[in-house]
Amino acid sequence: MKNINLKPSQKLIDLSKAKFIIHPHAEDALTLWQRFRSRNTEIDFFGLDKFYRPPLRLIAGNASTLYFINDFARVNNILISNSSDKYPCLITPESIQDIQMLAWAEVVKLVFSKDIHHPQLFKALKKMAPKSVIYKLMNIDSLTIDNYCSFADITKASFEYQQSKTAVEDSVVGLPMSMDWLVN
Amino acid sequence: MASELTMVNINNDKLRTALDKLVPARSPASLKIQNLIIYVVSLKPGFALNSEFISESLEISFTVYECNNIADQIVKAKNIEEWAVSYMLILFYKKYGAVDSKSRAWQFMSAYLQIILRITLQEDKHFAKVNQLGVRVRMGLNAHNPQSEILNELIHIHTQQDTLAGVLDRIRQYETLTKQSETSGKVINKKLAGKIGRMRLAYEVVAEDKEFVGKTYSKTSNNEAFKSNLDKFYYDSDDEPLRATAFGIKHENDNVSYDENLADDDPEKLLDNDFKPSKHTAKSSELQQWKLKNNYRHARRNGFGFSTSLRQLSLISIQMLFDRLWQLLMLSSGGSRSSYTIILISLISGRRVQDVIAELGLDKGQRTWLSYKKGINSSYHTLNITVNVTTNRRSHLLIHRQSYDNEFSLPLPYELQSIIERPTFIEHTQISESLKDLQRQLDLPALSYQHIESALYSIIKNELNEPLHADLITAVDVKHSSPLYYTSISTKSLSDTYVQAVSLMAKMCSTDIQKQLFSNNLYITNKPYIGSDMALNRGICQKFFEQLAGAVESFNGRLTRAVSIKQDRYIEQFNAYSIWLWHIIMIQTGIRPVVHAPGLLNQFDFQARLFWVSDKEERQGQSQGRLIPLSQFLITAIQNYIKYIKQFAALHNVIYPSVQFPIDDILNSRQPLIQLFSKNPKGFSGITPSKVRYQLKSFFSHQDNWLRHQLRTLLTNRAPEHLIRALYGHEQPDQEAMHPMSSLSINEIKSLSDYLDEVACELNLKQVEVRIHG
Repeated sequence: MKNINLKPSQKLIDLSKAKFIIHPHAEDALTLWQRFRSRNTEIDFFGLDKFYRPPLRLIAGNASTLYFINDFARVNNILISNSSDKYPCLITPESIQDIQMLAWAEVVKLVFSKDIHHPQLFKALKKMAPKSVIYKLMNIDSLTIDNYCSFADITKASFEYQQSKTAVEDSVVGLPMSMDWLVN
Repeated sequence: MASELTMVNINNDKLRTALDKLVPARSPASLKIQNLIIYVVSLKPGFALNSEFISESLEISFTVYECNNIADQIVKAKNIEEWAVSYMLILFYKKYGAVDSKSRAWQFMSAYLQIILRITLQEDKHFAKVNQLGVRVRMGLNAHNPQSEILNELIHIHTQQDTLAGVLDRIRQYETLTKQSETSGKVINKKLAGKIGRMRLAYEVVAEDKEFVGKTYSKTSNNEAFKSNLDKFYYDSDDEPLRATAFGIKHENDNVSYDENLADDDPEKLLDNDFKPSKHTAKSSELQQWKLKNNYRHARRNGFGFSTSLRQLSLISIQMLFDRLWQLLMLSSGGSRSSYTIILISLISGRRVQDVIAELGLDKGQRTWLSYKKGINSSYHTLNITVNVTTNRRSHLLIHRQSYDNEFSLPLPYELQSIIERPTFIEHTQISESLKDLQRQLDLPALSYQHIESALYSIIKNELNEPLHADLITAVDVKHSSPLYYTSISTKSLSDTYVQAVSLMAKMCSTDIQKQLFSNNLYITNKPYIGSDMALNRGICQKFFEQLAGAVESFNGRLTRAVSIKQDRYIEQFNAYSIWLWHIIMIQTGIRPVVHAPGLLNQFDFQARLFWVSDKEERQGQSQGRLIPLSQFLITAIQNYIKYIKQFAALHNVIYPSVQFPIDDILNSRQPLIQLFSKNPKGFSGITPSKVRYQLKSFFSHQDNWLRHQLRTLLTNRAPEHLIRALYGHEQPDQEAMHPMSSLSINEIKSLSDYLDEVACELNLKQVEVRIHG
């Protein structure tokens, strides 16, 4: 109990020197976020943010381990850039509930990104996300397609259109499944 | 009388027993199928059965689901043969739908079933034909199968002819026509005539009440004797017979035929003591061994065929010999004439003198390679050569092969035709006498059988510089010359070379004779291409690569991740790309499709444009592998792929921490360059031929090394033969391109890369474009 510091503190930290990993309770959310995040449609603020740096919200673990729990896009950029710059970090203890909320909020935010595949994301949320967290974040009482669509502000028709489009594409992508091409 | 024979009255009891035999009670839906048979038979009453006694029957119908179910049950019970009629009917129903008296197909089936019932009613050994009849129609139901042509023709015949005799007559005509077109070489041999013959036989049994004639197979059939000796090699040596045995390796990972692999691997041959040692060596095993090895080395030396070799005649000597032989042939008569004929035939065919003697001793109908052909106005003899390649039994590919067949004919000079008309018997001593006489007349240092036999081969190989043609024309066995397995070659190039070679032999004859040599020649129709059964025609090949590339690019703009890794389209695209590249490497290098081919990244040198490969099973002391020049197309393809996998790994590895793509190992040459993702066990692993087969699934199936055949075929008669052999590792022992004593320069081998680019161009190969970001 001694080494757990309940007092929040703000520091400048060179993240390339610390052991900087995802918090175990946020891991599922990060996996999903990586899988569904949009790759080339976001504006690249990373370069501009060189001097303006809002603090990263981190949790300190044992032996100089630092856990991140949200702001995945920025963390991703920091990890890729691999520079030895120092970043302002807000190190606070968080409850598991809060960690999950913060992490899953990142995934739920993907609903609004431009080229998201809604049916796949819906399926993923349904299968992998903790229900209570999702309900709270989306302010719904059960995760149905209707609720999802109204939260994402899309019509059910466009959701179903995407769904059927994938099904149609499945027969177009990859190798033909018969030898008909030999004859025609 | 005839009508009595062709029509049989049948009562209900008899019908029931026959039906129980055809569709046993144990078989699925037996009652329903029996009723279907009765109903179908009643569509065309009186074709082969009088069915007046049969009670009225009701229409029977099946759903598609039922059909599939019954077919599945029959297959699962492994009773396709025993329940052939059920199986055929159910598949026929699936294709042609509900029974309809107006349907031409069902009208045919009615007659067909009557034939089957009649054969069953006979209760004799002919019953085995019922299974045959079932198979033939079943195969024809698949549109991709060449046999669908037979089924369509049968339906057509049955609509035109009403009587059994009429139908039989038309089937006979169809069979003869098919047979003719198959032997004429104008169409690709789809091997249909034999199949039509088997159906015709069944109709004959019913129409003409034929007796059953069984075949007895003796154990010492030719085929078997030939098979057991496939791994035995006999070497040409001076005094003692020299025999060696090659022990093949088991290839568990590819589906290439054993003989082809044996010839291609060219394993170290073990010399065995199958000779009677001389008194001098008989006592000492060490001496025996030493002598044997020495002989073997000697035989390998002879393989070079240097023009300085004492075992072959110089070009001038051959020309003098030919001229003298021709003159003597025209002047002499009787025994000496026969011996000159034999020497001359051996000279222009490259066959052994003993073989020529044996062949000429036979009646012209029984001869094997001196084949007798009946033309329209005249009949003539030709040299007939069969290349014993691996047969392709994949029916969907038969029509797309480049080769029409595996045999071809070469002309014989007109003057010889009449002489070899009758069987000729001659003693060896007589020929030896003639040879001695010729040697004295021409003042040659030596003249033996061997000098005669090797003449044609050495002219084609040394003077015309066509070693492959030399092997083909002098009928070298495929197991002694593995390139023959792989090549589909135009027969025109072969007969051109042959005529050129014989003309060169006749250079010293008077111009009259030279002109006449092949001028009176009868027109020989050869198939345009012969040889390897695996090489496909260019159009299909182009289509194949187009489809592979299309599959890779079809994912562009449709890339989505899914909840489950098994439906992730990024990974599916990765697999499609790897499959494409694997095939491109095969067609651009001709390497064997071994496990993990083409190997590690550091085997490629993109600057020197060389690729080091060791694609044979490794053996002690011969695992050096060989160098293969890289075409520009292939270099670009591989470099693009490397760029792609870097991007792919960057995206993939963060998402699937448990299923990592080993990009570092690949780039650092610790793991094979090409990997595939498999669902079970989940993960990436090096590519293998069986995994490629699994990925292609129902899209395409062929022998694993077919692209090796394809490239060999495309390079033949385009690139210099000795370079192709170096590329394929098909050189004779001690004649390897990279042998320490070889005088070949590395730049000459590198010149192959231009030919490889030509091949890429001819097959319309295009680089694939992959957009991994959206």
